[in-house]
Amino acid sequence: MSYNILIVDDSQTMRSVLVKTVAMAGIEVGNTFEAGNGKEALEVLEKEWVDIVFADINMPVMNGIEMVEEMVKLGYMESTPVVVISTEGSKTRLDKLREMGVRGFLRKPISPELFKNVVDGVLAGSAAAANETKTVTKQPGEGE
Amino acid sequence: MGGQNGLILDSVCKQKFEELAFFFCESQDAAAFDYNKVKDAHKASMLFTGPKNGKFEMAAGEKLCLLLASNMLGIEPDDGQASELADDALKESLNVICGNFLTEAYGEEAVFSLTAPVIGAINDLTLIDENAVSEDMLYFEIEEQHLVVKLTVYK
Repeated sequence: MSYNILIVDDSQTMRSVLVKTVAMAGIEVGNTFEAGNGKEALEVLEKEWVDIVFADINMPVMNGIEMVEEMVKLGYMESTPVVVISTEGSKTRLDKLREMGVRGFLRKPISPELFKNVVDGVLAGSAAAANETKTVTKQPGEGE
Repeated sequence: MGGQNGLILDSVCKQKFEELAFFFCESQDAAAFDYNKVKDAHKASMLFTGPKNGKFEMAAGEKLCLLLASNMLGIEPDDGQASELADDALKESLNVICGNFLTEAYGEEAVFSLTAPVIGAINDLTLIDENAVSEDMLYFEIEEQHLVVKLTVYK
């Protein structure tokens, strides 16, 4: 299965590094979308199907926390897992993001090994949640 | 280099530059450092607010910025992309240093807001800021190039 990914970071260097890291992690990618801030990311999410979002926090125009708040309001968080990749080390702030539905956290600079572990876990969790939803919504007597 | 902040910053710079770009920073004696060596350098700066307020500044010459971008991206320094992203790589490095320093210095419970790093004209970083509570300036040699990192903490 290939995944459509959205990379949100104001640093073009970091976006390029992440594209390479995703490839090194062996994640099969369909489309790669890039955004320089939260506002641009929401525009992509409105138009395109995205399987996973990698987002920085400290960005101009709309930061990563504001972006996640908008994603919660728009109901995107259930269907689109977000992994925050930032320099943020505040437990208080990370706990708040976790409560808002962010599924994974990575601290810059990222190592490819840790990236793979976190992303594999998030994608496996999403697949399990999707299967659970299908099972719950299945009608009585309906076959496999 | 001054007190505890200087020691933490020194450690964070060495560790994060190695992880980011495979750079091994050699600390230079502040008293012996000739600031003219980075007079024509690129400079990035960013502010932080929270339990403490302050500013981070970083200056590096053209060649070091190119090396930084090329090592981060895994390309050759003479690749056009390295030149295109040299300033961006300097900004991102400063962002990483700033975020990691704040957690190391003030702990995981502290919440800081950071501005996005910006590239600016080089100031004389040796000038003393009269409004500062503390100032720490570190000099490093990397691949025979010079890097200056300055942390100013206000009230």
